[in-house]
Amino acid sequence: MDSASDPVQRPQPHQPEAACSPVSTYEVVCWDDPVNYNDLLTHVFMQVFNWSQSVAEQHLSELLAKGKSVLVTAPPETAEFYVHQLRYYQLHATMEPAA
Amino acid sequence: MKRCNPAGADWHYVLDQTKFVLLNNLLNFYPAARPVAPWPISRIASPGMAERNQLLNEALAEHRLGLEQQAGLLAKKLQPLADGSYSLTLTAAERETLIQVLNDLRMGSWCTLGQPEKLEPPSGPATEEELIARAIMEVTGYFEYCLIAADLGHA
Repeated sequence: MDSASDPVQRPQPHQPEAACSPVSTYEVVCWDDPVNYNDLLTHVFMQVFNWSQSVAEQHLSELLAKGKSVLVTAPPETAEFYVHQLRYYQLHATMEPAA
Repeated sequence: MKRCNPAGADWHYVLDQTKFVLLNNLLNFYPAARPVAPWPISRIASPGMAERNQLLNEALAEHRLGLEQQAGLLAKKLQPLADGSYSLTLTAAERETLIQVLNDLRMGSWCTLGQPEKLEPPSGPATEEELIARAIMEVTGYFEYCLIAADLGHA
């Protein structure tokens, strides 16, 4: 196994945006689901966003209370990147146009 | 399965014979129970989202191919010890790969069961496929707990 390959990738600082994208920002949303354990959700938030356990658990609490948590708001390509990273762990993550 | 070096750089675990057999079989079972992309990339339709959804599915398929190769390599890292137990030493990246493999199996089993909202024991007769899917969900959940909970101070 190539131990140098990191299963959690980091976004580039300046992701190029789609030139004609009609929506400028998207919310990366994680939804409650009946499969994933709370500890797994906390762990994945920490890994993907490099958050502290405290911040990750705040989002977990919001997710459990409201059924979803907005994790970040970002340009389309960055939001898409984060959704991919979360889906690699099988979290129910989507990108929704920011209000 | 217990972690043995909480202050060490690598992630080192010791498994008894039963846990070894379970984890070894799970890793060699992968990817028999594959998730079937249960969720689209967005709940709100917007321009370009169909293409983004296709890209997501392609990325997941490619990522899963990588996991399939790495699952076999992870199984080979289970090494017998003199006392009859087994060791598993992982880098941080390998640990994340193992978590992804386990949860991919867990999600695939949930899809096999028809994506039920509540994971309750079957009220009526269950097929062999359903029983296996439930067993995989339980066992993968156990190993996920072992890999994560202690690190969060929850074990």
